Amino acid sequence: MTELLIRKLEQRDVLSDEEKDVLRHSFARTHAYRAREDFVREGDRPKESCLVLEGFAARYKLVPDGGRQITAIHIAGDFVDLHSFLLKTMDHGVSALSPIRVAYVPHSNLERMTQNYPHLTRMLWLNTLIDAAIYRQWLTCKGRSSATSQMAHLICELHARMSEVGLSDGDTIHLPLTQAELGDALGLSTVHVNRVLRELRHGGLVKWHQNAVTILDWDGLMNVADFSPLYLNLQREPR
Amino acid sequence: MTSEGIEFRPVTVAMDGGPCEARLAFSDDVLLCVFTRVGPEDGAGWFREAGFGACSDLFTVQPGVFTTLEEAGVWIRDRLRAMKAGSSSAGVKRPPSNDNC
Repeated sequence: MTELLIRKLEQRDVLSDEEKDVLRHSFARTHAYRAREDFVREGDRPKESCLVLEGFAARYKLVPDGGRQITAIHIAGDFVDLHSFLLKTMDHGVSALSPIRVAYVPHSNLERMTQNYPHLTRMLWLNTLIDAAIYRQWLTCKGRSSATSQMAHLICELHARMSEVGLSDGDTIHLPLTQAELGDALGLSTVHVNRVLRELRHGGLVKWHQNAVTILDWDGLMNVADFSPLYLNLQREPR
Repeated sequence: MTSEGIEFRPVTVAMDGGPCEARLAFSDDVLLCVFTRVGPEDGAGWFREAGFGACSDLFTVQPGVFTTLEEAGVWIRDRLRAMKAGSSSAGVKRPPSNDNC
């Protein structure tokens, strides 16, 4: 159940067989959730952290007018809730964007792992640092890019992250997100989301049919997005 | 047309797909919003394309598409009332004045 996480970590450094076994045996149970179901709520004090095995999840904050801001989109192989191991009380929620299956690792196992395996601990630390790098990138895009550029950036990023764990099909990724969810992630109204997607389609950059997003013109899209995958830290080196 | 103190003047606005039917919304001859007409795929109605003063992004969040201009007028009057009361119903407090800015 941890193969995608191992694959993701091994993109960045070599893991020993022992470390991989420790990861494999740390997870105690799996659970499936329906699309739109919350599985971590703001204010919760979880005793276990969860890893996405299949599907998409959103990390979000509720806002006073009843809406929500999606602060991260998580895919299979992402450790969505490693934060709760140390933060204890969740300051945000995590919900399923599609039907999703997650695996749970008890915090007591994470404690043992971090006591006994310093390199594995650094790799999990790296994992949260990459989450932070993605937040920084999103924040920069939100503050300094046009809506079209933000959407183009999100598509490039999700394609890069999904390819990393073998979830892309050439230039196509499966992205079961509604326009309202894209709006919640980018801070745009659904009208603006619609316009931006229309612009990307009319520009011949992407094709978005049902839930399949195909990048038709990589150079064009990366140019509109000003996308560089540097922040995803994809290089393999000693950590 | 005028809806309880809010006047909607017809204009044409340049959009990505070409010229678009729109309305400027005034209260006492002060421009508060630009609404564009959107089609069924965007919710069919009037979309707040731009807002000023009480209807600006500083003091309110982007409203949904209004089915009619009367509904848009009700929203504008709510915003004006909230501004007068010192806060918005969206829970966004009016920032304190800052002499340095």
